[in-house]
Amino acid sequence: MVTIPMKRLLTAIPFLLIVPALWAQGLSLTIGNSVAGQNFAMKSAAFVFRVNGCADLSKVQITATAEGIVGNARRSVPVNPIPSQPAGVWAIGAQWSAEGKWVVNIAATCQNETAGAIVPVSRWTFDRATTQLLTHAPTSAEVEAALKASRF
Amino acid sequence: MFNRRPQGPPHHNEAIAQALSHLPVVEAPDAIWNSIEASLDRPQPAPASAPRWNLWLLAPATVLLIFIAAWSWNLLHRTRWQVVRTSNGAPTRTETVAAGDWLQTDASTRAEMRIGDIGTVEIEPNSRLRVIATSANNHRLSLDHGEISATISAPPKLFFVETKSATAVDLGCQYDMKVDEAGNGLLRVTRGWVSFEWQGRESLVPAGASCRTRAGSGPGTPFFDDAPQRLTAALDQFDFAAGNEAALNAILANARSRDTLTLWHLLSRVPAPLRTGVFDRMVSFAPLPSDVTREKALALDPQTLKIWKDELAWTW
Repeated sequence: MVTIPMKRLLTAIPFLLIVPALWAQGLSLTIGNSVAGQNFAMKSAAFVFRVNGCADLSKVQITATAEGIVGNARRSVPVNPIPSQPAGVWAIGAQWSAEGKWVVNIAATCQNETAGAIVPVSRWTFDRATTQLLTHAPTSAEVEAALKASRF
Repeated sequence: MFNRRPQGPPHHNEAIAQALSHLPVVEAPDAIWNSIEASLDRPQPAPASAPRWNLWLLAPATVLLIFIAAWSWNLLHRTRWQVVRTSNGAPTRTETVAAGDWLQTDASTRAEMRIGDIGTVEIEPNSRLRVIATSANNHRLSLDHGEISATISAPPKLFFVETKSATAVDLGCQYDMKVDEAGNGLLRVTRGWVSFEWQGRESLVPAGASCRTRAGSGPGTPFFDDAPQRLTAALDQFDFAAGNEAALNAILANARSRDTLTLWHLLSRVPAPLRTGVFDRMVSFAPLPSDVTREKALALDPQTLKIWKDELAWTW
C-alpha cells in the first residue's frame, strides 16, 4: 500500500486548490476608463481593457473593430489597440468618426480560449452600463443589437 | 647707436642683430656713462608698494563681477513662454514671460500661455498668476486667484500649479482649477490624473472627478462629478467643518460603486475606530483583490493601498 506522508500532503493542498481555480477562471476582459491604465500616454483613450486568465500574455491575440451607423450607412473600421504597461493592458483611442453611433467589437484569444466584449463608445469615452463582456468573440447579431441599443 | 647687446626672444634678437649690422657703431658720450654711474651710487627709494586695501577690495569686486555676469547671462538666456492675450475671442497682444514674471487678466481679457513644449494653460478673466520656474523638468506656476485650464502632454510631475492651499501636480492630464484670493478653490480633472498636495496630504484626482481645497486645511477628499449631492455635501462637512461621524455615515450611506474613489481616500483620513466601517463599505462594492488583505489595508500599508486603488480604478 502506498502511503503519503502527511507533511507532503499538506504541502500539496494549496497547489491542488489553485490549479482548478485557475482553470475555472478562464479568459476574460475587464473594461475601464483611461485612468485605469495608470499610463499618462493613455489619457486620451476612449477606454482601456485588460486580459485576465492568460498565463502567457505574449500569446494573447487581439482583434478590434469599430462598428457604426453614420446617417443610414453601416460602417466598419479596423481599430488598432495600443499595448501598455503593465503587460496585458491595451488602450483603444477614438479611431472612428465623431458622427453617428459606434460600438467597439473586441475579441481576445489566448491558447485555445476566447473572450470578447462589445463596448458602446462616443468620441472620448464609453458606456459602462451597456458594455457587454462575453466568453466568446462577439457575433454579428450581438454587434447589430448593441449598435441599435447604443445610447450615444 | 649705443654699444649694448639687445635683449629679447631669439628670433627678435636675430632680426635686430641683422638690422644692426647695417648701422654704424658709435661710442656713447662719456657724460652719459657718468650720469648712469652717479645714479647707481645714489640710494634707491623703496618701490611704492600697492596699498593693502586694494587687495582687500579685489576679492569682493571679483565676486560682484562674477555675480553680475551670471545674473546677466541668466537674464539673457532664461526660458521664456509665449502668452497670447485675447479679448472677445480675438488676439490683442503677444508677449513672453519668464520665471518671476506676473500675469494678470482683467474682466474682459483672457490669455493663453504655452508651457514650454509640454502644453498650454488658458487663463480666464480676472485671474492673476506668477511664473515660478520654466526649466525642462520644473514647469511651475503660482495661481494667486482666478481660474485656469491646463492641458499637458508630458510624463508625470513636470508641471505644477501652486495655490495658497494646495499644489496641483500633473500626472499627465487636463484640468480646470479656480481659486479665490484666500486660497479656497476647486480642481476639476477632465483627462488623466492630478495629484493635489499640501503639507504631506495628497488627493489623487482622476478624470471625471473634482477636489475642493480650503485655506488652512488643504485639499479635501476627491469625488466624482456625478456623485450624489448628499454625498458631496456630507463630504464638505467632513473635510472642512471638523468632520464628524454623522457626516461620515452620510457619505457611506450615499456612496455608489464608483464612489470607492472617495472611500479609498477616506480610509486613511478617518479616525482609526471608524476605519473598519469605510473598509466594509468598500468591500461591499467590489471584492478585495487577491493580493490585498484586510489586515494590511486597515493598517494602511502603502503598497497594499496602492494595489487596491489601481484595481478599483477599473471601476471608476
